Amino acid sequence: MKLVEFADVSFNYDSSPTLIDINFSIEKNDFVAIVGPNGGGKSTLLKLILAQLAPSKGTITIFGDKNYKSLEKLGYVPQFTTHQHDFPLRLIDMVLQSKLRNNSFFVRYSKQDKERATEILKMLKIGEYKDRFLSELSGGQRQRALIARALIDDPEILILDEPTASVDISVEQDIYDILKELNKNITILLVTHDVSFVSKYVNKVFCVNRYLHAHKLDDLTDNDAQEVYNKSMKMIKHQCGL
Amino acid sequence: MEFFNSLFTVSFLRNALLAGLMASIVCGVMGSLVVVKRISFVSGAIAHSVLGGIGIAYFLNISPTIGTFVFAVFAALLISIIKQKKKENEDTVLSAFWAIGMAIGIIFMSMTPGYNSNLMSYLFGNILLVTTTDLWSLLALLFVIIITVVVFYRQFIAMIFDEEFARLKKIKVNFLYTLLLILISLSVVILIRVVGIILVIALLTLPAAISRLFNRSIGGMMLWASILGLIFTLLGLWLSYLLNLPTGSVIIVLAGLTYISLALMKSH
Repeated sequence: MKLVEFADVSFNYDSSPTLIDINFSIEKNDFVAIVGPNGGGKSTLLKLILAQLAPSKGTITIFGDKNYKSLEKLGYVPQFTTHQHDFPLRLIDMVLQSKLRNNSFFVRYSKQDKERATEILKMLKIGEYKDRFLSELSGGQRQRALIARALIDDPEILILDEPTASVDISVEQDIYDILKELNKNITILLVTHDVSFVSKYVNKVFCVNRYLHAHKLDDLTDNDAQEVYNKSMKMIKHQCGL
Repeated sequence: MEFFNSLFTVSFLRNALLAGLMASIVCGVMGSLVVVKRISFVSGAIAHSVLGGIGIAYFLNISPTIGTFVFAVFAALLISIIKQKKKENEDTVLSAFWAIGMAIGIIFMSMTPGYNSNLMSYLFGNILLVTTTDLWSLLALLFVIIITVVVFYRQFIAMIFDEEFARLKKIKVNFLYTLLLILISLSVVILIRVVGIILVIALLTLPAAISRLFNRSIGGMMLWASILGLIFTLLGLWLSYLLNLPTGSVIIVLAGLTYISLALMKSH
């Protein structure tokens, strides 16, 4: 089942095109890495999927709907670098923000929402920190907190913008292991710089540099000779301009 | 002691105390939002541009509070619209507002006979001139501010913390930002009576900034900023009474020195 489909999509902010003739589809339970140079259009691609931008040309179909505007089934995890690290907010309250809508007046969250948030934080192994303030969390804990915030709305697709940009390598490993586990039920799409690292986890790599090249990694397994693997990586990196 | 007795018996001191109390609550609640959203400069532009409203009000011989109110809300709306268009550099636009408002004020005041003492009082405030009518209008504004913040509290925090995410959740980010600026402009109307245009930003942001040094939650920030605001206002009233100095300036010197020394101490 195709969850996201781009057909001949182009986009430009001004006269020079940012994305040209983009065609791809994302199936249920895919785990997709979007890689490419800075300014190659990765963020723009995410914004198009999240309907924050409209394509200049072509059609985007999400959950079979060409005018998909309700974003509840799309979970989004931004980079933490864009937030204030010492923002005076408790972890659990930050996660519960996902339950806010334009008609959320006054202060209360429901008991179910709070229980669900606690459950998700436990699953992400940050349950014990739920009453801590964001300033008291490490980079990895903050990143998990953002993943928790996206998960509380039970998304069908989880979209992450460089989830491991500001964490060290062991935390990076942890986060990918969590994502791999989540991928059993949820389709995952993430932007990253490190194509070799994610190749163990993902089944598709999209190279985005104005054009998009899709690579399937399904046929690459651990049993493959190292040589074959290295060769494919080299080709992907070459095509991605990395 | 004589001063504290007078606070309750002498009507202008009592009015000053009540105005100070209301200003403190505004400082606590709105100041905390301004500090975490990092829009002191926006608030400064709104505050300074209202001199235009005051000047026009004097010229037309209507209540300066009405002039302040209209100009403050007008500035808030325009600034919000410009931010959403995002074509121009926001800093430059804000500086222009800041300057144009003040210039219009000065022009109209110069066309009105006998403007001098009034100008000083609006630039630097005179809490001792607050009338009972002023107090009622301040109370009404305070009421509007508190109710609005209570109703939209979670949405405001979500918008301030992560605008992009809030937008994805269909929270009306532009509406909330405009609403926040309008609340700031209402706060400015209140605070100008106490410390005047030049110092209003200090009173709005300093107690909240001090409070942020010691509080991890926004609720705690708001509470302590209100208490600090009240302490500075009372101390300022008392000191200015003893030493025969302008009250608004004394309040700000107290708040400013406290903030700078605590911030330095904390960074060590």
